[in-house]
Amino acid sequence: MIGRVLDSSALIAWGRRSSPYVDAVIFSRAEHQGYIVPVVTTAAALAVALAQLPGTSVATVETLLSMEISLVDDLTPDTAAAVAETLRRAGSQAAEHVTAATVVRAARHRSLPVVTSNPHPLTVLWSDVAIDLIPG
Amino acid sequence: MDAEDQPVEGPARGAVYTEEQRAATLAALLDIMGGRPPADMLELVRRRDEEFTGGRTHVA
Repeated sequence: MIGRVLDSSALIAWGRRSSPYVDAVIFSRAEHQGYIVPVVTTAAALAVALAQLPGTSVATVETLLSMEISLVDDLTPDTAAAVAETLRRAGSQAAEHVTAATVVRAARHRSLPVVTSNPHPLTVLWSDVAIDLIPG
Repeated sequence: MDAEDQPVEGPARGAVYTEEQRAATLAALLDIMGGRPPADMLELVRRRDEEFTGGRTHVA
């Protein structure tokens, strides 16, 4: 079993309790015995999700991120160069793609699929990113 | 060291997941979810895990 990266759409689905598929992804990582199979997101994706969730859903997201299986990648001076490398394809539109670039970087860095309902912003930056599409 | 080679924040790949941690995590998830996810969704996730690993096993 491998981990997953959650983009903002997956975090929103989790917060809204709207996707049994996202629940199943997270639950099955949590059930794995012996070693941590991580559920990863990024601080930028988290900010985008929180901006679109009502206050009552924020605690649900925060609870997930406090779990042992969860990781949140920060965008720091140390990671900026790697994110910028991913972002280079966006050219003059780079500023609008920072969040997607952090998600792609997290996926590339760990060779993990991204759980998302909106793969286009990710595949624009890296056509080979593995997509775990949330069923509609 | 290249930025891409910086250590990953949080638990290391394959970090030990104790039974106590697992039980607490599952309890919190069950509380939020109101029960286990539907069996068909768990099965879809399992199939996709197989597709993504493509023969790799136990890769965290």
